[in-house]
Amino acid sequence: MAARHRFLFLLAALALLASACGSSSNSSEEEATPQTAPPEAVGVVTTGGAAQATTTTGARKEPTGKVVYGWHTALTPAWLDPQDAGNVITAYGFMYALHDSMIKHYPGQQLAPSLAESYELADDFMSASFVIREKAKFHNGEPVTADDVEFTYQSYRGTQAKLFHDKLDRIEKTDARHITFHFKEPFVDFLVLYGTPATGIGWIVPKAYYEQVGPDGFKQNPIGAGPYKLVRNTSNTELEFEAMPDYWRKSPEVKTIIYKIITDDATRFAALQAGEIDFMNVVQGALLEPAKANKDISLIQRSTTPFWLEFPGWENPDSPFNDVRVRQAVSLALNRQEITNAETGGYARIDGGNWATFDLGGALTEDEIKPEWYEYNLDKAKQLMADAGYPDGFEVEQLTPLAPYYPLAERVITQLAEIGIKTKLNRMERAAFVEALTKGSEALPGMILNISGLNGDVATRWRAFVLCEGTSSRTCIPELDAKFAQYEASVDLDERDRLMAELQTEMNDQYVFVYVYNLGLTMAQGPRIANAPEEIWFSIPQFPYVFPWEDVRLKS
Amino acid sequence: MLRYILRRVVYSVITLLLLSVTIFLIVRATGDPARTYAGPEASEEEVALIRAEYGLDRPLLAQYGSFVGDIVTGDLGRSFQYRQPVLDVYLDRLPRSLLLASLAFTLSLAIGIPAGVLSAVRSGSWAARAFRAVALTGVSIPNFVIATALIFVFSVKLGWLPTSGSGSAKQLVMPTIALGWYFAAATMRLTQSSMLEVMRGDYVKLARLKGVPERLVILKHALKNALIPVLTLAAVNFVVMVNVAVVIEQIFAWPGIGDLVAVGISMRDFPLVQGVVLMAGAMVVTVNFVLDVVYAWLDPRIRLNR
Amino acid sequence: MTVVASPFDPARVRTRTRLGTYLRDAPAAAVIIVALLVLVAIFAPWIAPHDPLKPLPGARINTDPAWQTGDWSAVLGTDFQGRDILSRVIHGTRISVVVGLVGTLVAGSIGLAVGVVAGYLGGIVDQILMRIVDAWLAIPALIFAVFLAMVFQDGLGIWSIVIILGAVFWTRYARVIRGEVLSLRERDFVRLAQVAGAGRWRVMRRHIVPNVLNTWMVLASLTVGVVIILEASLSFLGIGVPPPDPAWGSMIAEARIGLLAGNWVPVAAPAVPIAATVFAFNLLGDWLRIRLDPTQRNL
Repeated sequence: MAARHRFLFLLAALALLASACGSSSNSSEEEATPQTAPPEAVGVVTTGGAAQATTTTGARKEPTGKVVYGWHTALTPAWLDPQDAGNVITAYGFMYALHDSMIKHYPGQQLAPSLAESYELADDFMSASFVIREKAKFHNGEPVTADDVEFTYQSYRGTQAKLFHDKLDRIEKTDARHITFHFKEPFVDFLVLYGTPATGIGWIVPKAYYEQVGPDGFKQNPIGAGPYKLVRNTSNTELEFEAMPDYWRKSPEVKTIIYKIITDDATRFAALQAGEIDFMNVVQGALLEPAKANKDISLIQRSTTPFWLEFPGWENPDSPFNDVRVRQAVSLALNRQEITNAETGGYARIDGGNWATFDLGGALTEDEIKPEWYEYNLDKAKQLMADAGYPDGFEVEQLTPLAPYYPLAERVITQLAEIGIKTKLNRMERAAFVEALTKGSEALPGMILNISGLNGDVATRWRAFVLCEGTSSRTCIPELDAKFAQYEASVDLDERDRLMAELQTEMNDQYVFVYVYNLGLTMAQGPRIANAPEEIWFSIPQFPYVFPWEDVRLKS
Repeated sequence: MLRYILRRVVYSVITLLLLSVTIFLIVRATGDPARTYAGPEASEEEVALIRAEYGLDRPLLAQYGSFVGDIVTGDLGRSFQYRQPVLDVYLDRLPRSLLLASLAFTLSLAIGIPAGVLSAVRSGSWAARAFRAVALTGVSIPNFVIATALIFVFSVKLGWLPTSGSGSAKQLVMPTIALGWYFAAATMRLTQSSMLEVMRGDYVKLARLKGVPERLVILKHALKNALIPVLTLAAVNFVVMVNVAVVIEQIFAWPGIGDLVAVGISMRDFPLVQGVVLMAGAMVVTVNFVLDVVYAWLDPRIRLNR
Repeated sequence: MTVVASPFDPARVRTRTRLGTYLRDAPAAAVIIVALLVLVAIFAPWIAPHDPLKPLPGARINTDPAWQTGDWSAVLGTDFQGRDILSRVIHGTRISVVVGLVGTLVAGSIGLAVGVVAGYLGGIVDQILMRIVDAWLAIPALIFAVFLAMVFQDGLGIWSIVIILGAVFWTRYARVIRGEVLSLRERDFVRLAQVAGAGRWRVMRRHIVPNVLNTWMVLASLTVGVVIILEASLSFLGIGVPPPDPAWGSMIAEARIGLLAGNWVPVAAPAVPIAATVFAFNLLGDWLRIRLDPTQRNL
């Protein structure tokens, strides 16, 4: 059975299994997440049950010690507020420490109840009800109540907000711990959107406090229900978190976590070498070799989500990219083997072929990927360019990559020059780029080198990146929109499967997005950390950073 | 004296006004100001919102009036990156930049003044050449190379100093070197020419005639007088250092004004960068004003000359 | 007559402005470096062994220099794109020369014009121009450049960088030259020309400008270095000459990370010419400065 079918079955299973405590077997989930959670890596925590197990074994240990995390991007205070969550996974690197969600993935268990102790999605997808965990508390000591969950839903402004607000009929609260969302129409994707970092709406903020300080005040002094509370924010460049010993799942082992913003790759690596930081995001390029050679540094490398090229404004007949032959030539001109060799030492896969990862629910399976989607053939590319009327190529205003993937972008530029497409690199920091993606095809002319860590399933990404109305879309293909509407309207899981596969295949055949290669991510940790890197990095699908924080241990 | 001060006040105010006009006009001459303030990626609605908020559809003069009015009342706009008033963000980081700049300032004098004195009085000597080479190296190598090399040597190889961040004295050493070194050459140049000028002065000649030992002539009589213009330049450079350590603060993750500019550039946070420009300009004008007054007070001839 | 002893004796100054005389006893190292720079810039396409924008065949990425690998087809090795570093450094000379020299020239020309006009005409013109100069001077160069680069929203090419650098640096010239002109204006030969009926513009052109060229040269040679380093800093910040054009500054910014792995050649290859160029222009400037007018300040 194909992966996307499995995933949907998992959803269905979860929906039917009302109070799912460690619902499904481990093996099926491992298969569902083939790339990011290899079997040996799982520190198997089946939520509810494990929480009890952890808290009941022996006397509770007081959190001790300090861990420093070298972060690779500048911090936007909006990232501390799930109410403003955008289409970017980076923000969740902070949220997983500070906040907690009603439902979320845990290592070895997807869509597990978290702040909720149990949940139920109705068979007709018309309602979802939750029982809030009795022990769930905010950092100010207040319990998490149905009022907070309701407020979080209703005042949510982040990505997909419109969808949630449009679907909602009413909210029913029976008491402080029981809440049910009733929908106007079947909300088949509810769990995927509510229970993964596809959106921030499931991440509960304290109603009273939020209303008191307002959205901007909250970003300066956020209060969450996560395992760590924020105790210091030095000019958004250094954040100090302190363990919440009565966190519902277990008491964190490490008392203090410091997020240190070090945007400079070289400095961040030097800090790891010097033992100043224990976790380091993104080791890349020339630093890979010395990192491998250093015995004190443990590396973890994973082939993750794919890069793709977009051609904003390609629908315009004046654009050279309007011709599918040109777009295909771009794909054929990419020497993906050379790219992965240079970028990752060759470990990142180049046969993904699709702009969605295999571990995303609904994605094409490996069997369904056509080899021509990732073929490298310069002669054919040149031929296609000539056929399209550009034997000498043409100039493109710019190519804008998501930061910090400038070297990859430069490599793509160099390779495209082989078929005469000449362009320049436009540097833009991550947050600005992500912001720009939401502004339509005018904002970033030329070409875009994009990648998404957006969680959820393929449909989530489709809504964001492909739909005419998509939040981060620069594409508008009415026929595909119509088919997607069919998908949205259907409550037949098999039909949805088929439609989603067709949609992806059509996109790829048209080279609307050109697959580049799967991002190879290398993360590093220093010698003081007791966990094996696999336990805490890439431990849940689609999330490349450290999680769960409460499981992080220091060597004694 | 009072009249002199008043005149300087008027000059400074005019300079500040022209500074604001410059920025005001540059922003408007190069495109749609609403778009610039909203960020290049803003949607039409957001741009329209900004246009209404700043009243950008009014006549230029009216716009300028509120632009200056906002600045005078401390409203430098709002950073869309930090979602806070620009002034708050600036003031939050100012102390750390002042700290770094004071140390770098001291270092630039420590290299520049001896280099300048030696170049003036013993230009061919080894010591003069060595000092001059050190001072010129600081302006010849881009400071991001110096900064990275320092990290490699002192943090990675020797393990003496922390790579980055703020909070301890050790974290200041490398940023200080990288920043102060660059300004040493300018100090050297001015010290040298100032010394040469002073050495030709009558009272130095007189001191020599009186048989005062040469070393004493240089140190006591010449240097003391030569330092006045040097310190004037240094004072302005100090203000500059507070605001321009963009590259250095980014590499050493030092949360000061420079790092703020770096974030402002990368996030296209235009109000943030404009705020730093305005603050830096205002600080330079103020320092110049204070210096003028101090000198006039020290030396009555200045008051009469101008 | 004291005028004869002054460095501003017009006759003496005029002979000195000839390039040959300037260079006769200039610091040899500096002259050689500058000459080399200009030659390499002019003949870059003929000297460079490879195309600076294309990877060498065989996808050799980040290779070591020839003295370690024995492969002399890429003397300084290849960069992270597999391009020949030496060829990029050689072509980078052109960009640095254009940015450094043309940027300086643009700034210098505006500054010269404003300084001469303000100083010679005096009065209200002088007041207005000098207040503008004061205002612009108050903004630190790097911050000003960053500000301008951000305002120029659409596409930063090499020429917009040159314009930005010109806009940032002209004020320095204007102020110093205006000071010089103020004293020249009172001098006998200027007065004589005026009495003889020469018009304002003629006096400025024939008598004032030639006599401030010394100072201008000093300033210019000191500015070239600052301009080149500033362009490198802008490249580091991602707002300089955009890749893949081989500007020295962005080459260093890209290769710098390798320093931590001990790969110093890709950094040194562009850093050494930058340092040599800036050092040479500084030496020249310092030499000219002391040579022509030891008391000249604030340069």
